[in-house]
This record gives sequence, C-alpha cells and structure tokens, in this order.
Amino acid sequence: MTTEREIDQILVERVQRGDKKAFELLVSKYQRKLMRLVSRLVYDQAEAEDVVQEAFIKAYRALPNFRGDAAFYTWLYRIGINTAKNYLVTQGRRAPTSTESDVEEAETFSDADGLRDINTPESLLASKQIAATVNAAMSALPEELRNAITLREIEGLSYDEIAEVMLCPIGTVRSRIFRAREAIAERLRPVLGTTLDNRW
Amino acid sequence: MANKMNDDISKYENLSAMQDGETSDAELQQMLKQSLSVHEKDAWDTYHLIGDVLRSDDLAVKMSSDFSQRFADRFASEPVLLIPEIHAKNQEKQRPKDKRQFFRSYMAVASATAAAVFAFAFGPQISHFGRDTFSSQQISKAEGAAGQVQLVSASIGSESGEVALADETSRLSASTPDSEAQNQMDMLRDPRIDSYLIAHQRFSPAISNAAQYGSRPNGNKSATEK
Repeated sequence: MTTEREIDQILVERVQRGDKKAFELLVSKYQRKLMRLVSRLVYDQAEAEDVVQEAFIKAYRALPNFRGDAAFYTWLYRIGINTAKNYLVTQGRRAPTSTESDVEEAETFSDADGLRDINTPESLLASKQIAATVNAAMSALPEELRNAITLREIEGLSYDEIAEVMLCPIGTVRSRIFRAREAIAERLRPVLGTTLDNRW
Repeated sequence: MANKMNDDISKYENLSAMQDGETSDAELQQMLKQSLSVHEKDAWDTYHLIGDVLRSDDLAVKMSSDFSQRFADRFASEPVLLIPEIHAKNQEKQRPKDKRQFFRSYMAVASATAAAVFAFAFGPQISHFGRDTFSSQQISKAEGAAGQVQLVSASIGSESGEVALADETSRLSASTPDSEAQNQMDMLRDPRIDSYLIAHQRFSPAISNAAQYGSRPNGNKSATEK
C-alpha cells in the first residue's frame, strides 16, 4: 500500500518531469493545512491567502532543489512559515502576540453580537467561550510556541517532523509544545474552574 | 522546593509528551506505574481539551471560494520544470542492474538519432550559436508566458543527462491532451550539444535514408537503381 508520503513524492517527481497539474494536486491537498498554519501568523484572511499562494509559488520554484530527504509537507510548512514571517517583516509588523481585542473577545464573549438574544444551550455557549479563550491564548503565545503546538495539534506532525520544520532539536519541540499547552491552560483556568493553579 | 518544582514540571512535560505518543518506553512505564494525582489528571484533561478545540469547527479556517481559481491564474505564468538528472536517476532506480548496460547502449543510439533530428530541424540555428555565446553552464530559460519550459540542470552533457533530455523532448513533442500548448513552445536545447550533433550526423535517419539512394561502396546498386 502506498503511503501518503510516497504519494507526495510521486507527485513531486512528476512535477520535476514537467507535469504542472501534479503540483496543482499538491496545492489542493495542502492549501487548507497551510492556511491553518499561516493564519496563526497573518490574521487577515485575504492577506493570509496571499501568503499561502506565495508560499506555494516559492515551493514550486524551489522544487528543483527538493531531494526528498525530508517529507514534502514538512518542507512545505517550513516555506509557509518563512513566507509568513517575511511578509510580516515587509509589512513592518512582527508576528502577532496578544492584543487587547483578543483578550476582550474572550472575556466578553457573552456580549458578542448575535448571541445576546439567542436562546442557546448553556453547553454550546460554554464551548464557544472555551474556543474563544483558546484562540486568544494562541494569539498571545510567542511565535515559536504557537508554531509548535499548531504543527502538533492541527497538522498532526510527529516531534521528529516538527523538528524538521522548525529546524530545532526534538527536545526543544517537546519543551515548546508543553509550554504552549501550559500557557493556554493557564488562560482556561477561570473558564473551566479547575484546580490547575494549585499545583505548585 | 525548587527541585520539587522542577520535578513537577518534568512530570507535566512527560504528560504532554505522553499525550502525543512521544515518550520513551521507560518514561511511559514509569508514568503508568504511578496513579495520577488530581492535578495531573486535570492537566491531562485540559491538554486534550486544547487539542480538541484547536481542531474543532469553531476554529476552522475558511478559505475564499475563488482561492483555487486565483492560484491557477497565477500558476499559469510559471514555467514548466524539467530536471533531467532527477528523471534519469529515477529511471536508473527502476531498471535491474543486468539490463542497464544494454539500455545505455540502446539509449545512446536513440539519443544520437534524436539529436540528429534536432540538427536537421534546427540546423540553420546551430551556426548562429558559438561557444562564446553561451557559457558551459548556461541554462536555457524561458520566462513568463505559459507553455514555456525551464530546463534545470548543471550537468547536461553526461550520457544520462542527454538521454533524459532527449527522452523529455520526445515526450513533450508526443501527442498529449496538452500537445497544442506544448507544440507552441519554443524548443530549447543546451548549446553543448552542438559538437555532439555534428559528430553524430551519420546516425540521422534523414542521412541514412538519403544514402540508400546513392551508390554503395561495394558496388551494390541502391533500390532506385535496380
């Protein structure tokens, strides 16, 4: 049975032999995944889509140098992150950290438009509030922690693969993911009402 | 106190790695032996909740409906990539060792024939390009318009490189659903092939066919003379 990685390699080799349509298949496969990754750095959807497209174009142009030592998607994700960072630099912005609006969004979610007059079950509202809190906490994370937990939780990469993307040791990946989870968990405490803060 | 805190942090870090299936066997066995404290269980639950929320529809990323079309429009202006070395390497991997020698000999003749076809099809152009026009590592590159081809190689000139180049050229010129677009593209070649073409003109089918209608050295008459 051909693995997903092998399929990617087959498509890459077809592109390298002049089959542009094979690259379009790769774009269709990874556009949403790359968008999820990039949108954690570039918040505006239109801008994030532009960055994703730019990343794909860069990947295509760099394909002659791709030897298949790493998986295609780890290589692509690295390009995506670098393209997003470069975009922010050219825009005179750093990668986003916390913003007042993000914090407010989480803390005042019950005042959000469209919900005040809606008779939603308490659990649905609670899950929306948790989602907003997690989203705000992610925005507040340092870029390296945010990238690490995104690649792990959303893209499902192993620590090995994340180390390839982020060009750091596996131990650093493990530490970053743990610190990201702890930082988000700390913001969730008031919402969840857990006893996490009594650990030490 | 500080040591206890470090131990606790390490324990929670192990929990985090255990969630991802990234603990060593020894660490896993050690953790499974001990029952989780209330705080550890809370941490385990919360770490999983964070992952579930990040993957949920609430935080799903939306893309505009015309993303694919916009990308297709932009991608259309990118040149087609041809990397003969990689193609040749892939072909080498697929063939058994004991057939490689025969294959190389056969492809040498086939590439010479194809090269000679080049020479006759583009003969007048050859004389316009000399060694001082291109450097030995010149890569012919077409930019911009759709349907053009970018050759990417630093070592065309080796036998495998020429084989792949000839193979790619013949593949591109074959009838395909995209042949209309491909037929319109300029044929590019590496100028280092010029001396090779001239040296192997005798393998050209055009010449060999023409020779059938000439007198033969051993006195045998050609087909037309019979």
